[in-house]
Amino acid sequence: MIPAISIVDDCGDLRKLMVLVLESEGIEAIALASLAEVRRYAEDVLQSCAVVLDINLGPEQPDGVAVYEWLREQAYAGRVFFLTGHAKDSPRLREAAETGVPILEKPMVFEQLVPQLVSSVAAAGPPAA
Amino acid sequence: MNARAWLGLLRFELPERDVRMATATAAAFNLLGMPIDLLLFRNEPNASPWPEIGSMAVGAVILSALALGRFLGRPSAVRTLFFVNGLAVALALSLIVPYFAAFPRPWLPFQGFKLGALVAGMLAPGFAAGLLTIVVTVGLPMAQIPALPAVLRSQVSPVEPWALFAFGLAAAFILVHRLRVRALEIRAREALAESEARRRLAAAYLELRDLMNTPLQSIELATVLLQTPQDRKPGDEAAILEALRRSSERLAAISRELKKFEHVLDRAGTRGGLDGQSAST
Repeated sequence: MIPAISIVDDCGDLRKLMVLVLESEGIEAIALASLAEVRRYAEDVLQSCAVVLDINLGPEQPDGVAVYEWLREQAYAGRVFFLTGHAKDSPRLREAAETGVPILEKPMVFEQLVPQLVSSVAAAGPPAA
Repeated sequence: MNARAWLGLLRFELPERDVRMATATAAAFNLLGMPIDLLLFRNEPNASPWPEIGSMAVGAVILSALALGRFLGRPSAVRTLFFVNGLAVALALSLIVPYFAAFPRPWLPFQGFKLGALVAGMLAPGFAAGLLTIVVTVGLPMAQIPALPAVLRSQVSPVEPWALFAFGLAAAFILVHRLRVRALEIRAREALAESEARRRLAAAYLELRDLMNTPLQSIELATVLLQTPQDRKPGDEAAILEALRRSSERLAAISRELKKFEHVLDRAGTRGGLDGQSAST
């Protein structure tokens, strides 16, 4: 089944929990750790309704902004969110802010985070089979 | 300058390195300048060289002591040595003055004292040491004028002792200006250093916050999932608890890393201003 939401974060625990949270809301999700994995599962990612990107994807790894740039190059039509632990003034966050993509700051309470993701799926409609 | 600025100037202390350098320079000036007077009177049989030699000896002892690292950590003692050096020079010059009576050429009185006062103003390592040295350097000759031999007294310009006084005043102004500028420089440099330290501390805090935010996000989601068993599949509980445990461990690891900085804190017990009450509201 094609996932409605793609999660890209280098933290395995957070990926697992995000998937479980979304499944509890009846939303299928795929969790990936890096740009390389995003490319490997490109078909699923590009057909999802929304992509949630962590910015810091680990040392020596292309960051979330690089993943966003890749999505743009692939003409990705869904919604994109950055979910980051970086402070507002960090250079990486400033770079992400310039993309115009909504930035969600960790730690976000469940009641704020999940409705945003659910509404993006609802707005997009069911993913293509 | 208002009263507060004057008080600040009185209390202002140059860095110890500057105090030692200034005193060593004054002692060197004494040691290398007094031979000029010895040369002046080298052909005068009634001119004893002991005033100059005595002054040079004081300069040599002070210079050697500072070069050998004596009085380290005792800038007050070094400032006192500056005054002692200045006093030695002024006393030597006072003792030399009568020798000019035998000079075949007209005497330009008190040039050494005037130079000494200006040098004291330019070099003094503190306000009190500098002012006292200036007062002694111009005060001694001023007091000496009435007691001069008649042949010398007749050569003293009518503008004396006011010229001496004017040199003393000029030296005092130089002293005040120099110390005030130095105090402002040091204050500006300290403010810049503090600002840089705060910026680096803030950057470190933000890095720390970044490290903590992901395990906190995991804990938030895990807590909600555990509270709603009806919304999850059987078997997920173990995975959720494991993620919770690892997130907690990550936070504990960060806390352990921060323990390394405990020794840096001021042991007087001042804290950064956060307390549990305000953090939880």
